[in-house]
Amino acid sequence: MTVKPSGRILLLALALVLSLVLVSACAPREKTVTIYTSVDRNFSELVFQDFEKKTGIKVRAGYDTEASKTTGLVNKMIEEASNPQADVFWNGEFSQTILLKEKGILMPHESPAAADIPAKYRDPEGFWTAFGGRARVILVNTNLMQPADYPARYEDFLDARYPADQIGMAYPLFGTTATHAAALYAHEGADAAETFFQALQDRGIRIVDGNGVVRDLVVDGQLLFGMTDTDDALGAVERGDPVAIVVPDQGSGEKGTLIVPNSVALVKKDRLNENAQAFLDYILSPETEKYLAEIGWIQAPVRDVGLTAAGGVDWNQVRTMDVPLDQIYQQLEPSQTALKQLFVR
Amino acid sequence: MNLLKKADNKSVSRTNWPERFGHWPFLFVIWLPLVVLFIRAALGIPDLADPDGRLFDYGREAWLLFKTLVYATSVAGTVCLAGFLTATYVCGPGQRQVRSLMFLLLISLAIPSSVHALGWLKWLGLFREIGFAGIASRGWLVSWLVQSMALLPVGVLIIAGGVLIQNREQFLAARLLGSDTRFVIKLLPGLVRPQILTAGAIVWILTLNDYAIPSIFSINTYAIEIFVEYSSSYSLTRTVLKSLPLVLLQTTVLAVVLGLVPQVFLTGRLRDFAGLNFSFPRHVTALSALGPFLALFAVAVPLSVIFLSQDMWRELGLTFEQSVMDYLTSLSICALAIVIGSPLAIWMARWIHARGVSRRALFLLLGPVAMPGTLTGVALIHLFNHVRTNWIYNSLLLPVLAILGRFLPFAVLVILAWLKRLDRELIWAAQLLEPDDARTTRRILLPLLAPGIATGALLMFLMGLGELGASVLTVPPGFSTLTIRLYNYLHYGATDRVLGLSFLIVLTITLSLVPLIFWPRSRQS
Repeated sequence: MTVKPSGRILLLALALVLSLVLVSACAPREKTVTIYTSVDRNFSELVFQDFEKKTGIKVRAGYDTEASKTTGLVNKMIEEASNPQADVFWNGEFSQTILLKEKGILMPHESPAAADIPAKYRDPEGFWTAFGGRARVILVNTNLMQPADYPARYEDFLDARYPADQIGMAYPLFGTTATHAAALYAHEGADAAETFFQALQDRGIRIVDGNGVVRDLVVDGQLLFGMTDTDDALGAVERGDPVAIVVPDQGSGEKGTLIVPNSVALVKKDRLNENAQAFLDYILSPETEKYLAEIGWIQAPVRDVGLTAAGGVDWNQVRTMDVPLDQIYQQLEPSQTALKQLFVR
Repeated sequence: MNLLKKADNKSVSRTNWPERFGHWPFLFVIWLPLVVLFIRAALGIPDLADPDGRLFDYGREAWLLFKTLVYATSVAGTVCLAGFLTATYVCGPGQRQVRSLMFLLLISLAIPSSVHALGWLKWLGLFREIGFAGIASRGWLVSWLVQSMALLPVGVLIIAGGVLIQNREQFLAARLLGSDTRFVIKLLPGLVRPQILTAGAIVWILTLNDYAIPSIFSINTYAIEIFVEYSSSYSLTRTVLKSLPLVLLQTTVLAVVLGLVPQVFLTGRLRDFAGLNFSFPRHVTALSALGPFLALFAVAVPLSVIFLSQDMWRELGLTFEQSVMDYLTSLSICALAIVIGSPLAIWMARWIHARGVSRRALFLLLGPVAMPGTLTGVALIHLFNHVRTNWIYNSLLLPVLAILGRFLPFAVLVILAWLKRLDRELIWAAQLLEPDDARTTRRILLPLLAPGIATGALLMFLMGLGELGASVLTVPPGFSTLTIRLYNYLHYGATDRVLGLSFLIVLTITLSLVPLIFWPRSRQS
């Protein structure tokens, strides 16, 4: 039987479709664990590689991107609730993990590796555990500012000494900036927090798409300073960009800066994947928390892992905002609803 | 006249199945997920909790929507004007120059909007350093400029295509009656009106759905309102409700605008319109030169940022090494989208062509384009995340369906345009000689449509390579795409890696365009 050229192309195309679908869909025979993570891929990939090397368990990772404001995966998990695909959710912050617990998407599991993590970082019912934190910091352009002029607290964003169009922060509606806003609502009260954000909006400070953009604009000299996360800030410091990190609100009697811990949880499934438990034990161990600090993803461990200073800051001496995680979570939706009226118009 | 009617009737009775049922595969693949999504969203309405009455803030949202419409319309208008000027200018020099410009514009089409913004931020900073301190770094004006420049290639490509298919004799006849300037100002806009409207509509929609560039320059648009709802309420119903005004507006405008011009898509034959030497007074020449100048600038800014970055070149090997699997995944997804999507596009185009381009057909075709990418992804999750369809859900088929859901209509449009350019009598004659419809299609119709199919496939490939909104939700665990990695690098601030991946995208597109450049020559020979 002879096959005409057009028939050959058709057969080839069909073979391509089938092979690609089969290759991508066929069930893996090796030991695997499916992990959804909102942690920056540059860091999470290193952790997954380390886990694979130590345990021989292959990680099938689902990543989020900053473009979807780290809510893409959470929404996906909510949509997948009836037929969950992920075994583990490793979140770069905590509020969305608490949300998933409330939606009934997680299952309780207490890892022995988390035994020395303080109780305030663990869910009383064992649905999630928080660990390794990032801090909210002010990134300053050292070419444009002298140390004596650096801002020292969040309220300095309202100081008339600094031109409003050269100060920046991300929309307080997404990611850790939203968490920071919710923390202020919980700490200061809704009225005081709303007055502060109203004043920021009235001043006309620059509101941009994300913490990464704040960092880039400060590095580029378009902003004198901006509020961002330590992982973003340290990246710029380590690249040798002309920037310095200021940890805000460190004076006597001041509220301290917000620490945003990672969190990890098991996804509720009919049949528990033992490899998922192995990952929880791995990620919650003090060794991994130290490793996370070494690679630059976290700066404020929740227990003593022998961390040295990073980015010119001794993190053991940093004063942190004392607000329980669940109170911050409770304020998240009300603060987002209120701030949307202020900042999206 | 009667004979012609009889021939028409005969042709209708002889129609093969794509002309009668060719829309069903399109409806099944593209519309079914959206219908399921809307049903699910509607079912959730009774459960909507809105104790504070803050779900809709009508005054603020209406104002935001109005501002967004003004912004998108101004961008679309600018792109159409610059596109028309460019198109009239490039008609003069001849085919080679036209092809070079088109080639550069095609390449810049797939560069992510964030790289365009990055390029413009650097260039504007440069201008400020050399003394233009008054240039704003944020605000409506600069956002409008950058958005227009990022989308200019879309407008130029469509409008220039419209100019190039014009009948040379029309121009020569007009030249006898008046000046070239009069022809270009009075007659040409009317002749290329379909393409101007099409370009305007597409740019308008792309602007309405983009919040990346506006938010970089501190502009709020309605797209960010939808995103805030999506990321804070975690409610499908609320997100769909918030999206509805924008989706309905876009769909209505598309159906109305494109319905006004049924001869919209490259309905003429390719004439040798390029190579005409217009004779303009100096001031008109200068004005029309503004278009290609802007077009070149639109291409040069992002490309200069990519190619002049020393860090990018230094890190390129490492960037490629880390991204090779994502690169292969992206290529596989786009290849699969072409393999599965091309027959669907041909069938749908034949179905529409057999009935004539009506508003209803345009609505069916273009409605899905108005959906935000995120909702397309969510729709596919709803439809396929079941135990019985896990084999689809956990395979690359899902992102392929996402690409098709977003970009297949554009491929259909291109093939439809080529269908309209075919000589119908030629097809009927073939059908008379060959009773087997499948054989006629394979041996006569498909070879004649091949350039259109290839162009449609290329369009899907180009757009699919840069897709993020739906892909990030549909790529199965263990896989990732080039664009997902690029946005991760962008957040991390690894500009060298972002530019390295952009270079990889540019290189891939260049290589994929090579066969198209040489194909016409080989056919001629």
